[in-house]
Amino acid sequence: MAFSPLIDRLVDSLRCLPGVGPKSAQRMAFHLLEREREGGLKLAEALEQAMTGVGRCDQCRTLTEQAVCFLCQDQRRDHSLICVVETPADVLALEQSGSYRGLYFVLMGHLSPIDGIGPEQIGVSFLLGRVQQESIQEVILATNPTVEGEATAYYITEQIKAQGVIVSRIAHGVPLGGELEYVDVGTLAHALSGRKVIE
Amino acid sequence: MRVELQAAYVLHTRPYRNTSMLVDFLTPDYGRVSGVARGVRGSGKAAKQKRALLQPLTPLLISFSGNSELKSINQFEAERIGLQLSGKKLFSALYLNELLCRLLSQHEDSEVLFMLYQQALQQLQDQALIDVVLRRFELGLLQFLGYGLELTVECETGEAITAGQDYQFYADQGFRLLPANSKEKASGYYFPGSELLSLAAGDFTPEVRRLAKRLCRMALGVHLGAKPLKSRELFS
Repeated sequence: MAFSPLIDRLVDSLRCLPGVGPKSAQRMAFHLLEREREGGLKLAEALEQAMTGVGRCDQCRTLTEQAVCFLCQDQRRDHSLICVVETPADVLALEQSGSYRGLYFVLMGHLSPIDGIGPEQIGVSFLLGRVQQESIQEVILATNPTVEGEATAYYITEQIKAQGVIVSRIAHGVPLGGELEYVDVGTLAHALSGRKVIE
Repeated sequence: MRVELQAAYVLHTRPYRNTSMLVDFLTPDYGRVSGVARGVRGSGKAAKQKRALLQPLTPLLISFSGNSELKSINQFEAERIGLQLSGKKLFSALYLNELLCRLLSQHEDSEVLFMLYQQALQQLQDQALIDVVLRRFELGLLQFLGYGLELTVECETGEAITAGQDYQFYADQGFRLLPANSKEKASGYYFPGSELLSLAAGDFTPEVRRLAKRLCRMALGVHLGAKPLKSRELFS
Protein backbone atom coordinates (compact mmCIF):
# COMPACT_ATOMS: atom_id res chain seq x y z
CA MET A 1 0.00 0.00 0.00
CA ALA A 2 1.36 3.39 -0.91
CA PHE A 3 1.04 6.46 1.27
CA SER A 4 1.27 10.07 0.27
CA PRO A 5 4.66 11.04 -1.26
CA LEU A 6 6.01 12.72 1.87
CA ILE A 7 5.29 9.72 4.09
CA ASP A 8 6.71 7.38 1.47
CA ARG A 9 9.87 9.39 1.37
CA LEU A 10 10.20 9.33 5.14
CA VAL A 11 9.74 5.55 5.27
CA ASP A 12 12.27 5.07 2.50
CA SER A 13 14.80 7.33 4.17
CA LEU A 14 14.51 5.56 7.51
CA ARG A 15 15.53 2.34 5.85
CA CYS A 16 19.12 3.54 5.54
CA LEU A 17 19.54 2.80 9.25
CA PRO A 18 21.08 -0.57 10.14
CA GLY A 19 18.51 -3.19 11.09
CA VAL A 20 15.57 -1.24 9.76
CA GLY A 21 13.51 -3.00 7.12
CA PRO A 22 10.33 -1.78 5.39
CA LYS A 23 8.05 -2.78 8.25
CA SER A 24 10.03 -1.16 11.06
CA ALA A 25 10.61 1.93 8.94
CA GLN A 26 6.87 2.26 8.54
CA ARG A 27 6.30 1.84 12.25
CA MET A 28 8.91 4.46 13.07
CA ALA A 29 7.46 6.92 10.56
CA PHE A 30 3.96 6.57 11.96
CA HIS A 31 5.15 6.77 15.52
CA LEU A 32 6.88 10.07 14.77
CA LEU A 33 3.93 11.47 12.85
CA GLU A 34 1.23 10.37 15.27
CA ARG A 35 2.84 10.82 18.68
CA GLU A 36 6.26 12.37 18.54
CA ARG A 37 6.17 15.41 16.29
CA GLU A 38 8.44 17.37 18.57
CA GLY A 39 10.95 14.54 18.90
CA GLY A 40 10.87 14.09 15.16
CA LEU A 41 11.76 17.72 14.55
CA LYS A 42 14.55 17.49 17.09
CA LEU A 43 15.83 14.38 15.37
CA ALA A 44 15.71 16.09 11.99
CA GLU A 45 17.63 19.07 13.29
CA ALA A 46 20.24 16.96 15.09
CA LEU A 47 20.68 14.77 12.02
CA GLU A 48 21.11 17.74 9.74
CA GLN A 49 23.66 19.40 12.00
CA ALA A 50 25.62 16.21 12.61
CA MET A 51 25.68 15.22 8.96
CA THR A 52 27.00 18.57 7.80
CA GLY A 53 29.07 19.43 10.87
CA VAL A 54 30.90 16.27 11.90
CA GLY A 55 34.20 15.59 10.20
CA ARG A 56 37.50 14.03 11.12
CA CYS A 57 39.91 15.16 13.84
CA ASP A 58 43.05 16.60 12.26
CA GLN A 59 45.24 14.59 14.58
CA CYS A 60 43.64 11.25 15.38
CA ARG A 61 41.15 11.01 12.50
CA THR A 62 38.24 10.12 14.78
CA LEU A 63 34.80 11.59 14.13
CA THR A 64 34.29 15.05 15.62
CA GLU A 65 32.87 18.45 14.74
CA GLN A 66 35.94 20.21 16.09
CA ALA A 67 39.15 20.61 14.11
CA VAL A 68 40.99 18.75 16.86
CA CYS A 69 38.94 16.44 19.09
CA PHE A 70 38.75 16.94 22.85
CA LEU A 71 40.86 13.84 23.55
CA CYS A 72 43.73 15.20 21.49
CA GLN A 73 43.39 18.65 23.08
CA ASP A 74 43.43 17.35 26.65
CA GLN A 75 46.79 18.39 28.10
CA ARG A 76 46.44 16.05 31.07
CA ARG A 77 46.71 13.05 28.78
CA ASP A 78 50.06 11.44 28.06
CA HIS A 79 51.16 12.85 24.71
CA SER A 80 54.03 10.40 24.31
CA LEU A 81 51.70 7.40 23.95
CA ILE A 82 49.58 6.73 20.91
CA CYS A 83 47.09 3.89 20.57
CA VAL A 84 46.11 2.75 17.06
CA VAL A 85 42.54 1.45 16.72
CA GLU A 86 40.27 0.52 13.82
CA THR A 87 37.10 2.51 14.55
CA PRO A 88 35.78 5.40 16.69
CA ALA A 89 33.76 2.80 18.61
CA ASP A 90 37.05 1.21 19.68
CA VAL A 91 38.17 4.55 21.11
CA LEU A 92 35.01 4.64 23.19
CA ALA A 93 35.53 1.08 24.39
CA LEU A 94 39.09 1.82 25.48
CA GLU A 95 38.01 5.05 27.16
CA GLN A 96 35.39 3.15 29.13
CA SER A 97 38.04 0.73 30.36
CA GLY A 98 39.50 3.78 32.12
CA SER A 99 43.02 2.41 32.04
CA TYR A 100 44.47 4.34 29.16
CA ARG A 101 45.53 7.98 29.35
CA GLY A 102 47.36 8.48 26.06
CA LEU A 103 46.36 9.63 22.60
CA TYR A 104 44.59 7.71 19.85
CA PHE A 105 44.87 7.20 16.15
CA VAL A 106 41.81 5.88 14.32
CA LEU A 107 42.47 3.98 11.09
CA MET A 108 38.79 3.87 10.06
CA GLY A 109 39.16 0.27 8.94
CA HIS A 110 41.88 -2.30 8.40
CA LEU A 111 44.03 -3.45 5.52
CA SER A 112 41.86 -5.52 3.22
CA PRO A 113 43.36 -5.88 -0.25
CA ILE A 114 40.32 -7.60 -1.77
CA ASP A 115 38.13 -4.64 -0.77
CA GLY A 116 40.69 -2.27 -2.23
CA ILE A 117 41.80 -0.94 1.15
CA GLY A 118 45.56 -0.47 1.22
CA PRO A 119 47.96 1.43 3.50
CA GLU A 120 47.02 4.79 1.98
CA GLN A 121 43.29 4.37 2.67
CA ILE A 122 43.83 3.78 6.39
CA GLY A 123 46.19 6.75 6.74
CA VAL A 124 49.42 4.94 7.63
CA SER A 125 51.60 7.65 6.12
CA PHE A 126 49.79 10.26 8.24
CA LEU A 127 50.43 8.19 11.35
CA LEU A 128 54.11 7.92 10.42
CA GLY A 129 54.28 11.68 10.01
CA ARG A 130 52.88 12.16 13.50
CA VAL A 131 55.31 9.69 15.03
CA GLN A 132 58.18 11.50 13.35
CA GLN A 133 57.16 15.02 14.26
CA GLU A 134 55.80 14.61 17.77
CA SER A 135 57.75 13.21 20.69
CA ILE A 136 55.97 9.85 20.66
CA GLN A 137 57.71 7.15 22.66
CA GLU A 138 55.39 4.21 22.26
CA VAL A 139 52.83 3.15 19.67
CA ILE A 140 50.27 0.65 20.97
CA LEU A 141 48.59 -1.39 18.25
CA ALA A 142 45.03 -2.22 19.26
CA THR A 143 43.67 -3.48 15.94
CA ASN A 144 41.28 -6.43 16.14
CA PRO A 145 42.74 -9.92 16.53
CA THR A 146 41.51 -10.98 13.08
CA VAL A 147 43.65 -11.94 10.14
CA GLU A 148 43.25 -8.47 8.61
CA GLY A 149 43.83 -6.79 11.95
CA GLU A 150 47.08 -8.72 12.44
CA ALA A 151 48.21 -7.85 8.93
CA THR A 152 47.50 -4.19 9.65
CA ALA A 153 49.42 -4.34 12.93
CA TYR A 154 52.41 -5.96 11.26
CA TYR A 155 52.45 -3.48 8.41
CA ILE A 156 52.43 -0.52 10.79
CA THR A 157 55.11 -2.16 12.96
CA GLU A 158 57.41 -2.53 9.96
CA GLN A 159 56.97 1.10 9.03
CA ILE A 160 57.48 2.51 12.52
CA LYS A 161 60.25 0.26 13.85
CA ALA A 162 62.85 2.03 11.74
CA GLN A 163 62.23 5.23 13.70
CA GLY A 164 63.35 3.86 17.05
CA VAL A 165 59.93 4.05 18.68
CA ILE A 166 58.64 1.23 20.89
CA VAL A 167 55.80 -0.63 19.17
CA SER A 168 53.59 -2.86 21.29
CA ARG A 169 50.56 -5.03 20.57
CA ILE A 170 47.64 -5.51 22.96
CA ALA A 171 47.54 -8.98 24.51
CA HIS A 172 45.11 -11.70 23.46
CA GLY A 173 43.82 -13.94 26.17
CA VAL A 174 41.14 -15.51 28.26
CA PRO A 175 38.31 -13.12 29.15
CA LEU A 176 37.86 -12.10 32.79
CA GLY A 177 35.51 -14.47 34.54
CA GLY A 178 35.84 -16.91 31.65
CA GLU A 179 36.43 -20.62 31.90
CA LEU A 180 39.28 -22.25 30.04
CA GLU A 181 37.08 -25.11 29.00
CA TYR A 182 34.92 -22.82 26.86
CA VAL A 183 37.63 -20.66 25.35
CA ASP A 184 38.33 -21.36 21.68
CA VAL A 185 41.61 -23.06 20.81
CA GLY A 186 43.07 -20.12 18.90
CA THR A 187 42.66 -17.76 21.87
CA LEU A 188 44.10 -20.35 24.24
CA ALA A 189 47.13 -20.83 22.01
CA HIS A 190 47.68 -17.06 21.99
CA ALA A 191 47.15 -16.82 25.73
CA LEU A 192 49.76 -19.50 26.30
CA SER A 193 52.35 -18.11 23.94
CA GLY A 194 51.88 -14.63 25.42
CA ARG A 195 52.09 -15.75 29.07
CA LYS A 196 53.73 -13.54 31.66
CA VAL A 197 56.19 -14.26 34.43
CA ILE A 198 54.54 -13.53 37.79
CA GLU A 199 56.44 -10.86 39.66
CA MET B 1 21.38 -28.36 -3.89
CA ARG B 2 22.67 -29.43 -0.52
CA VAL B 3 26.29 -30.08 0.33
CA GLU B 4 27.47 -31.44 3.65
CA LEU B 5 30.86 -31.06 5.28
CA GLN B 6 32.82 -29.75 2.35
CA ALA B 7 36.42 -28.79 3.15
CA ALA B 8 36.88 -25.05 2.72
CA TYR B 9 39.07 -22.03 3.36
CA VAL B 10 37.67 -18.55 3.82
CA LEU B 11 38.98 -16.23 1.09
CA HIS B 12 37.08 -13.11 2.00
CA THR B 13 34.28 -11.88 4.26
CA ARG B 14 32.26 -8.73 4.33
CA PRO B 15 29.46 -7.61 6.64
CA TYR B 16 25.93 -8.08 5.38
CA ARG B 17 22.73 -6.84 7.02
CA ASN B 18 22.75 -6.76 10.79
CA THR B 19 24.21 -10.00 11.94
CA SER B 20 25.22 -11.78 8.73
CA MET B 21 28.31 -11.94 6.61
CA LEU B 22 28.88 -12.61 2.93
CA VAL B 23 31.69 -15.13 2.72
CA ASP B 24 33.75 -16.41 -0.19
CA PHE B 25 35.16 -19.88 0.32
CA LEU B 26 37.58 -22.00 -1.65
CA THR B 27 36.38 -25.60 -1.81
CA PRO B 28 37.74 -28.71 -3.56
CA ASP B 29 34.53 -29.76 -5.36
CA TYR B 30 32.74 -26.47 -6.05
CA GLY B 31 35.49 -23.96 -6.68
CA ARG B 32 34.73 -20.59 -5.18
CA VAL B 33 31.54 -20.71 -3.13
CA SER B 34 29.86 -17.45 -2.08
CA GLY B 35 27.32 -17.61 0.67
CA VAL B 36 25.53 -15.89 3.50
CA ALA B 37 26.50 -16.94 7.01
CA ARG B 38 23.78 -15.86 9.43
CA GLY B 39 24.07 -14.88 13.05
CA VAL B 40 27.82 -14.41 13.00
CA ARG B 41 28.04 -10.76 13.97
CA GLY B 42 26.96 -8.97 17.07
CA SER B 43 27.88 -9.18 20.71
CA GLY B 44 26.29 -12.52 21.60
CA LYS B 45 28.56 -15.31 22.71
CA ALA B 46 27.45 -17.67 19.95
CA ALA B 47 28.02 -15.03 17.29
CA LYS B 48 31.49 -14.30 18.60
CA GLN B 49 32.47 -17.94 18.59
CA LYS B 50 31.19 -18.45 15.08
CA ARG B 51 32.92 -15.37 13.84
CA ALA B 52 36.24 -16.48 15.30
CA LEU B 53 36.00 -19.53 13.04
CA LEU B 54 35.22 -17.57 9.88
CA GLN B 55 38.76 -16.29 9.50
CA PRO B 56 40.98 -16.79 6.50
CA LEU B 57 43.67 -19.50 6.78
CA THR B 58 41.54 -21.77 8.98
CA PRO B 59 40.70 -25.18 7.50
CA LEU B 60 36.92 -25.51 7.82
CA LEU B 61 34.23 -28.02 7.05
CA ILE B 62 31.15 -26.24 5.73
CA SER B 63 27.62 -27.30 4.86
CA PHE B 64 25.69 -25.16 2.44
CA SER B 65 22.51 -25.24 0.39
CA GLY B 66 20.70 -23.21 -2.22
CA ASN B 67 20.29 -23.12 -5.96
CA SER B 68 21.31 -19.57 -6.72
CA GLU B 69 24.84 -18.18 -6.94
CA LEU B 70 24.63 -17.09 -3.33
CA LYS B 71 24.42 -20.12 -1.06
CA SER B 72 23.13 -20.37 2.45
CA ILE B 73 25.93 -21.42 4.77
CA ASN B 74 24.13 -23.67 7.22
CA GLN B 75 26.98 -24.91 9.32
CA PHE B 76 30.68 -24.68 9.67
CA GLU B 77 33.25 -26.12 11.99
CA ALA B 78 37.01 -26.02 12.21
CA GLU B 79 38.73 -29.07 10.81
CA ARG B 80 42.04 -28.26 12.45
CA ILE B 81 43.45 -25.25 14.24
CA GLY B 82 44.16 -22.38 11.85
CA LEU B 83 47.61 -21.56 10.58
CA GLN B 84 49.50 -18.92 12.53
CA LEU B 85 51.21 -16.85 9.86
CA SER B 86 52.70 -13.50 10.61
CA GLY B 87 54.41 -10.69 8.79
CA LYS B 88 55.38 -11.15 5.16
CA LYS B 89 53.98 -14.68 5.22
CA LEU B 90 50.59 -13.34 6.25
CA PHE B 91 50.73 -10.75 3.46
CA SER B 92 51.59 -13.56 1.05
CA ALA B 93 48.58 -15.54 2.16
CA LEU B 94 46.38 -12.46 1.66
CA TYR B 95 47.90 -12.13 -1.79
CA LEU B 96 46.94 -15.72 -2.63
CA ASN B 97 43.40 -15.01 -1.44
CA GLU B 98 43.15 -11.90 -3.57
CA LEU B 99 44.41 -13.78 -6.62
CA LEU B 100 41.82 -16.50 -6.10
CA CYS B 101 38.99 -14.03 -5.53
CA ARG B 102 39.86 -12.24 -8.73
CA LEU B 103 40.53 -15.19 -11.02
CA LEU B 104 38.53 -18.18 -9.86
CA SER B 105 34.97 -18.72 -11.03
CA GLN B 106 32.24 -20.51 -9.15
CA HIS B 107 31.14 -24.13 -9.49
CA GLU B 108 34.26 -25.67 -10.78
CA ASP B 109 35.87 -28.92 -9.80
CA SER B 110 38.97 -27.51 -8.21
CA GLU B 111 40.44 -30.34 -6.20
CA VAL B 112 43.89 -29.72 -7.73
CA LEU B 113 43.75 -26.05 -6.89
CA PHE B 114 42.57 -26.69 -3.37
CA MET B 115 45.52 -29.00 -2.78
CA LEU B 116 47.84 -26.43 -4.29
CA TYR B 117 46.47 -23.72 -1.99
CA GLN B 118 46.72 -25.90 1.07
CA GLN B 119 50.26 -26.85 0.15
CA ALA B 120 51.24 -23.22 -0.39
CA LEU B 121 49.90 -22.21 3.04
CA GLN B 122 51.68 -25.10 4.69
CA GLN B 123 54.94 -24.20 2.98
CA LEU B 124 54.57 -20.58 4.05
CA GLN B 125 54.19 -21.83 7.58
CA ASP B 126 57.22 -24.11 7.26
CA GLN B 127 59.75 -21.38 6.60
CA ALA B 128 60.18 -22.01 2.88
CA LEU B 129 61.34 -19.18 0.63
CA ILE B 130 58.24 -17.06 0.26
CA ASP B 131 58.69 -16.07 -3.37
CA VAL B 132 59.26 -19.67 -4.49
CA VAL B 133 56.04 -20.72 -2.77
CA LEU B 134 54.16 -17.87 -4.47
CA ARG B 135 55.63 -18.64 -7.91
CA ARG B 136 54.75 -22.32 -7.65
CA PHE B 137 51.22 -21.37 -6.73
CA GLU B 138 50.93 -18.80 -9.53
CA LEU B 139 52.20 -21.25 -12.15
CA GLY B 140 49.84 -23.91 -10.82
CA LEU B 141 46.93 -21.44 -10.83
CA LEU B 142 47.61 -20.47 -14.45
CA GLN B 143 47.74 -24.14 -15.37
CA PHE B 144 44.47 -24.76 -13.57
CA LEU B 145 42.77 -21.85 -15.32
CA GLY B 146 43.86 -23.25 -18.68
CA TYR B 147 46.53 -20.62 -19.32
CA GLY B 148 49.47 -22.81 -18.30
CA LEU B 149 52.85 -21.61 -19.53
CA GLU B 150 54.73 -23.81 -22.00
CA LEU B 151 58.22 -23.33 -20.61
CA THR B 152 59.92 -25.79 -22.93
CA VAL B 153 58.38 -25.12 -26.36
CA GLU B 154 58.83 -22.21 -28.73
CA CYS B 155 55.33 -21.07 -29.69
CA GLU B 156 55.84 -20.24 -33.38
CA THR B 157 57.83 -23.21 -34.59
CA GLY B 158 56.97 -25.75 -31.93
CA GLU B 159 60.64 -26.49 -31.42
CA ALA B 160 62.13 -27.15 -28.02
CA ILE B 161 63.51 -24.18 -26.10
CA THR B 162 67.30 -24.44 -25.95
CA ALA B 163 69.64 -23.23 -23.24
CA GLY B 164 71.82 -21.06 -25.45
CA GLN B 165 69.04 -18.90 -26.96
CA ASP B 166 67.04 -15.97 -25.67
CA TYR B 167 63.26 -15.68 -25.86
CA GLN B 168 60.57 -13.09 -25.64
CA PHE B 169 57.30 -13.72 -23.84
CA TYR B 170 53.86 -12.94 -25.25
CA ALA B 171 51.25 -13.44 -22.58
CA ASP B 172 48.56 -14.80 -24.89
CA GLN B 173 50.89 -16.96 -27.01
CA GLY B 174 54.04 -18.11 -25.30
CA PHE B 175 57.77 -17.81 -25.86
CA ARG B 176 59.16 -16.64 -29.17
CA LEU B 177 62.78 -16.94 -30.21
CA LEU B 178 64.60 -13.62 -30.15
CA PRO B 179 67.03 -13.04 -33.04
CA ALA B 180 70.55 -12.41 -31.79
CA ASN B 181 70.77 -8.83 -33.08
CA SER B 182 67.28 -7.50 -32.34
CA LYS B 183 66.81 -4.26 -30.45
CA GLU B 184 64.94 -5.88 -27.54
CA LYS B 185 68.17 -7.63 -26.73
CA ALA B 186 69.75 -4.33 -25.82
CA SER B 187 66.89 -3.41 -23.48
CA GLY B 188 67.42 -6.57 -21.45
CA TYR B 189 63.75 -7.36 -21.84
CA TYR B 190 63.96 -11.05 -22.63
CA PHE B 191 64.15 -14.48 -21.03
CA PRO B 192 67.27 -16.68 -21.39
CA GLY B 193 66.44 -20.23 -22.48
CA SER B 194 68.64 -21.81 -19.84
CA GLU B 195 66.71 -20.15 -17.01
CA LEU B 196 63.35 -21.07 -18.55
CA LEU B 197 64.45 -24.69 -18.61
CA SER B 198 65.55 -24.49 -14.96
CA LEU B 199 62.16 -23.03 -14.05
CA ALA B 200 60.42 -25.85 -15.95
CA ALA B 201 62.51 -28.32 -13.96
CA GLY B 202 61.57 -26.58 -10.71
CA ASP B 203 65.14 -25.52 -10.01
CA PHE B 204 64.79 -22.12 -8.32
CA THR B 205 68.22 -20.50 -8.38
CA PRO B 206 68.39 -16.76 -7.51
CA GLU B 207 68.37 -15.80 -11.22
CA VAL B 208 65.46 -18.10 -11.94
CA ARG B 209 63.51 -16.61 -8.99
CA ARG B 210 63.89 -13.12 -10.42
CA LEU B 211 62.91 -14.30 -13.88
CA ALA B 212 59.91 -16.24 -12.54
CA LYS B 213 58.62 -13.15 -10.74
CA ARG B 214 58.79 -11.06 -13.90
CA LEU B 215 57.24 -13.85 -15.95
CA CYS B 216 54.34 -14.51 -13.54
CA ARG B 217 53.54 -10.81 -13.35
CA MET B 218 53.29 -10.61 -17.12
CA ALA B 219 51.29 -13.82 -17.42
CA LEU B 220 48.84 -12.94 -14.63
CA GLY B 221 48.58 -9.31 -15.67
CA VAL B 222 46.65 -10.21 -18.80
CA HIS B 223 43.97 -11.96 -16.77
CA LEU B 224 43.81 -9.46 -13.94
CA GLY B 225 43.02 -6.57 -16.26
CA ALA B 226 43.63 -2.93 -15.49
CA LYS B 227 42.85 -3.04 -11.77
CA PRO B 228 46.07 -3.70 -9.85
CA LEU B 229 46.33 -6.21 -7.02
CA LYS B 230 46.07 -4.28 -3.78
CA SER B 231 48.03 -6.76 -1.69
CA ARG B 232 51.18 -6.02 -3.68
CA GLU B 233 51.27 -2.60 -1.98
CA LEU B 234 51.88 -4.32 1.34
CA PHE B 235 55.24 -5.65 0.22
CA SER B 236 56.68 -2.31 -0.76
